[in-house]
Amino acid sequence: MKHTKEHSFFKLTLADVTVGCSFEFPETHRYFGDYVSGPFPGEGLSLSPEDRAAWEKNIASMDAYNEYSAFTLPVSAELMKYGRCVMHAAAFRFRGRAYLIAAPSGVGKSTQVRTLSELYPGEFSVISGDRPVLEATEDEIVVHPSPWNGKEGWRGADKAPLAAIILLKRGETNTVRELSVRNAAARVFASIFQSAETEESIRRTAAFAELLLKRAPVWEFENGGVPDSSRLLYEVVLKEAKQDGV
Amino acid sequence: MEYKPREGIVKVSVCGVNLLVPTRRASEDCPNIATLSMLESIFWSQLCRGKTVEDSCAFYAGLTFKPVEEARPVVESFFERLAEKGFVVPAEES
Repeated sequence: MKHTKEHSFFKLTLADVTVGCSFEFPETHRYFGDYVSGPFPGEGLSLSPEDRAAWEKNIASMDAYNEYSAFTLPVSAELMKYGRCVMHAAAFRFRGRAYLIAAPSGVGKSTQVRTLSELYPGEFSVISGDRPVLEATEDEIVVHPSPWNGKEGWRGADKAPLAAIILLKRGETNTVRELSVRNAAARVFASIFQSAETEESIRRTAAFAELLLKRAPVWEFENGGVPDSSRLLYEVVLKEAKQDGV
Repeated sequence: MEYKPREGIVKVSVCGVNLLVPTRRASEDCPNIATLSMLESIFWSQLCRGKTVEDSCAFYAGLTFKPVEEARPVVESFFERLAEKGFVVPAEES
């Protein structure tokens, strides 16, 4: 894509992959913190008109913060070429392994992570508050921190191998159950950021979702209210961690 | 009623689970992802190959050794659900 002279160019490094980015707003790069360095020689990723239009459905107007946030789309699409992607989930580390709590915005991902940390101090650390980068290696999925950390700004430093995906939903009761691949496939697929611009991008996302489902169990977690729901999740997480010998 | 697939709908397989996913241009009218059973996946593929709903009724009747009249509600209700969610449009619609 051609850019105007006003665009600023930076290198963005995520999960050991560096991509070039072209930002419309001069302040956008600040939100990426030390994930960006610069300048990037040549043209990099930028928000396509379609990315922008899709994001603008949910915001009042595009500004530096929203450009930073919307950049998840082209970055995730680009990372998929390198066996990586960005997922909409809160990621935390427990006993050396990573757990993803995935849900649409506002359902309570951060509340669960916060409550777990308060109930069991020192046992959990955040990897990413909102959008971790996932890397598919030969035999596991590695969960990396990212510059997109949600309204709390929770940002971790350590990566960890994925232990489980927890699909959170609001409910009347507190329940946790392991999902079949059939029941999990669409929801895991939908949690991966992608542009869905082309059939190819959808197929890439499907391939990544398949790797996730092959390498990690998926739990459905119905939250009827903290802290009891968090205690239930803790018991399930603990049980699984022990079974894995962690 | 006869239907045709909405343009921009992609069928993908995730661990053997068939999903219908809208591309961005289709998502305005079809915002969700659908999970298909194996049989529903066959019906979808038949529609994409230009077969009619009636063809799928005949196929399903043959598969289950049922009269077409008994097979028809199963097939029609599947396509009606897809139409409600925007994955298919009436065949006469351009």
